[in-house]
Amino acid sequence: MKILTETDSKYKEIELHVCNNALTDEVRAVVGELHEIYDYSIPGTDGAGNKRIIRRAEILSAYSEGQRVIVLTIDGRYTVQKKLYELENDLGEANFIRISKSEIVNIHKIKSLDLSITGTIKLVMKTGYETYVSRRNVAKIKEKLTKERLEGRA
Amino acid sequence: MKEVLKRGFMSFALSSFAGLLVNLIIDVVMNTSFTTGFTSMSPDYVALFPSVTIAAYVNILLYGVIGATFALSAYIYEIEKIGFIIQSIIYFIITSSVCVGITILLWQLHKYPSAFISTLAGYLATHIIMIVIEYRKLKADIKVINELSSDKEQS
Repeated sequence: MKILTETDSKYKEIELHVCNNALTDEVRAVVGELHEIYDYSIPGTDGAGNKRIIRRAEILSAYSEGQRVIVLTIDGRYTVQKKLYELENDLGEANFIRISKSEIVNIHKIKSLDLSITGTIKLVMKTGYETYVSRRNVAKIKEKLTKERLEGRA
Repeated sequence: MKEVLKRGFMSFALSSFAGLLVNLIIDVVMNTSFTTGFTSMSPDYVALFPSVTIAAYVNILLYGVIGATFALSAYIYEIEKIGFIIQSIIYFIITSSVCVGITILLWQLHKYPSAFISTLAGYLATHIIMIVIEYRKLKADIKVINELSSDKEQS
């Protein structure tokens, strides 16, 4: 299978075209996977009470705050009617990883991790959002990124 | 809160049971005739109580307190905003304070300064070694993560 990337100003958003000489099971599986990744969406409510649909690709982080679960996107924070573990199950296959007892993040949006002299592990996302990682999850993040790297090369 | 109580209760019960089992084994092995009372308890400790039986009950409860202290103190490691070196220091202070207090009572360690100091020093050394190893491992893991993340960003 070839994976090609094409950039052109005519595209206003990401388009994914799956091309083959027939609609085989493999094509169906690839399309299914892409739908699974990009079509997943959940309703969220912002601080002003406005509702909107949040697509999986938009989610940077999801964390619990008291009894609520907040989803963080580049546009803002949204309360969702799901438990964190349910979101983790829904998003787990799509590059999300648990970084602490109360938060999961999109692994592709991580910019860097910073270990302080006292042992605090700060995670900085590409958007500038900062949060903290629990020690026990560092190895899992490394494992997932390494696995992705190896799969990308294969 | 429910989870905290559950963890505290479970560790208390398990530690008490483990303590009871160990004491039982010591008494069975060391005191086959069962004529000299509980050999697993120091005479000075037993003398603090009106009867050997009460001393034995308190002994078992104290094992439970040690277990619950370790289990509940471990919650400090779940607060990500506190660095793990600080977490380890707090954990060390809480657990060593409780354990030293209890071991002084149980084994009268304060009467044997060298044993007291070596016990405490051993516990401290274990913590220092654990912190150093963990810090180095974390630093290495974070270096790899940052390299992988920056490669991803460039590609």
